[in-house]
Amino acid sequence: MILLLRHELARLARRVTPYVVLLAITALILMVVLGFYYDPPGIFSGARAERKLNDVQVVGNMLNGLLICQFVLKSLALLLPYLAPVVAGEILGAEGGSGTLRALLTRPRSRSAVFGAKFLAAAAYTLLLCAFTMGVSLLLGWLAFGWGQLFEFEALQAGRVVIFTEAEALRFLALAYLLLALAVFVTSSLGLALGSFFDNGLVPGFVALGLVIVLQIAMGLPFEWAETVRPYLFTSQLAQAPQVMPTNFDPETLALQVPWDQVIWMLKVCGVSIAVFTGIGWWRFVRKDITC
Amino acid sequence: MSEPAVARPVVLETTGLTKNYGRRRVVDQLDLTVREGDVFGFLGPNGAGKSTTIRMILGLIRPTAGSVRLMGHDLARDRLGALRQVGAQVEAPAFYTYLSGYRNLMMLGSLSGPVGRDDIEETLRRVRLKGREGDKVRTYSQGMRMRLGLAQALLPQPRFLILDEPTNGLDPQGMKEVRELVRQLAHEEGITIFISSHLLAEVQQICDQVAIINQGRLVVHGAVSTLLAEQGETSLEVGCDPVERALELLQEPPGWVQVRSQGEQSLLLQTAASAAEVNRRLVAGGVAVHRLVPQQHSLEELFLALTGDGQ
Ligand SMILES: Nc1ncnc2c1ncn2[C@@H]1O[C@H](COP(=O)(O)OP(=O)(O)OP(=O)(O)O)[C@@H](O)[C@H]1O
Ligand SMILES: [Mg+2]
Repeated sequence: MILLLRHELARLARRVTPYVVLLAITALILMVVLGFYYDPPGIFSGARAERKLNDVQVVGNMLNGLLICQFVLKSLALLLPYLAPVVAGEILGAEGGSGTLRALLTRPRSRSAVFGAKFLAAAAYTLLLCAFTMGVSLLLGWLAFGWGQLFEFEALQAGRVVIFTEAEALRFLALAYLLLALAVFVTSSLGLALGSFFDNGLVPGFVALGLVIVLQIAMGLPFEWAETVRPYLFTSQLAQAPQVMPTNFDPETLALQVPWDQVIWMLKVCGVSIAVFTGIGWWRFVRKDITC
Repeated sequence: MSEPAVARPVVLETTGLTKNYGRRRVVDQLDLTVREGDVFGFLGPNGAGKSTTIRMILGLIRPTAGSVRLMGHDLARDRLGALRQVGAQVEAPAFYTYLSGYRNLMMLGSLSGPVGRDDIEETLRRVRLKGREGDKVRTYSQGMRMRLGLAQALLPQPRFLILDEPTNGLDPQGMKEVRELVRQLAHEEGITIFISSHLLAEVQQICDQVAIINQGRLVVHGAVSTLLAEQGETSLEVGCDPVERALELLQEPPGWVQVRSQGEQSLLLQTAASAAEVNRRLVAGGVAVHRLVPQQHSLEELFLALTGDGQ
């Protein structure tokens, strides 16, 4: 299994698609940074000067690397679940498409182990994707705007002020990106699982993408059944990760109010979805006739 | 191959092996036995079910019915045990084209057991790919891919080699090299070899056992020499003088030979009698016999007779 996983990672590292996705993300982050740099939203213009926010007097650097990182988290959280399955779908599907699956499976390795290695490779890539997004947004944000405490973005937009110290902000951002990785892995595992059904490198990823979009649209319909089903469906949880950043604090104790209920519910729905998709993909993979 | 066939252990045995695709039966009740040391030719026309059978033997496809025993293991129960010492190349060779030939060999080979740099170098030399192993497989020609396919099947040191049309796409020189390689593997290293093909001359040259299938059914199964001998009458080319006298002698008793053609000093005969018998009669009758060449039936004739028209 460890050997199989090493091979999977080595192959992943030598394919093109994973890098294309990373490059696309870097380009998006760069656009965000440039946007803030040349055309900052009203509240940040002159951020280095004194700012009056309601009754609070802000002196210092509101626009900084941490704020960029949080902004990217919120905006890319919507996009990563669409990008990741393209790579994950390739991990299994491309082997059917090129016929290497039959070479691989004539070796004395169990199909479960082969599938397991692919699952872990997809998980590793998803994690890397999210860590990369966080790292690049921090780096580019820091290079462009420097460092400082984080003024929580959503509260800021609502005219409130919730401030994190640098260390606190990094902890929350790391947690949020970790949760994002979990959400993204739901669609990755869907792409991977579909690779058991299509002997092709591209089809599984795009079918996964199509499924997610269709479900998201269906769940957006203004019907009662959609309302009822919505909270249980993974598509409603994909963009929830940024919510782990508290936008409020208790006025009495001044403690940050993390919406743990929401986070735990997201963990449950995503976890079950991953298990279901992976289970179906594995079930099919260990049984299917290799006709590629 | 000098020892009697029964004494050698069975390496592969299929029993009632059957595969349906939907309602169509592609492989039908196939019973095959391959013994250690055999070079086993698996013949059949296009679409006969050779590749499907090989896939079932390797556990890639689940049989609709029947069972496979490979290297002493029941494939359905212990696939990993069965495949441990098997090297295989199924249909057209497929590789990770974005990786080098070397890395492909390393990846695939190491899944069966430890593979060192030396093993790979040695195998590359054997299939004559040395020097190109660093290039991406994407840049390989069809013949080079076939050679690489052979190389991966040879890593690491299988006891049983299953090759599906291994000379497909090779030039005549390459075909000859593969034939020689197969002979060498079988005779010098004692590796059992199972080769599917529809190149009959090739199979006749390198195989000692053969099975012919047609439309998924086993048509014939046995030692090549026995099968050809069972074909009955052989042709006999006789160089003799005078030819007229020889013809007279061969007319008695009527029907024991047919004269197929006649040259100035030669005859082509069709007979059930042995060459020695023909020789004795001619010499006794005062004919000078300077050449006597029995012509063996070819596997091709047998194959066409068994799988040809009327099917
Ligand atoms: N996945 C599949 N679904 C349906 N039919 C199939 C499938 N794979 C193979 N067949 C059919 O099974 C039959 C046997 O195919 P197979 O590939 O085993 O033949 P073959 O003897 O290897 O032929 P060739 O000499 O052309 O390689 C063919 O009629 C083919 O159409
Ligand atoms: Mg075939």
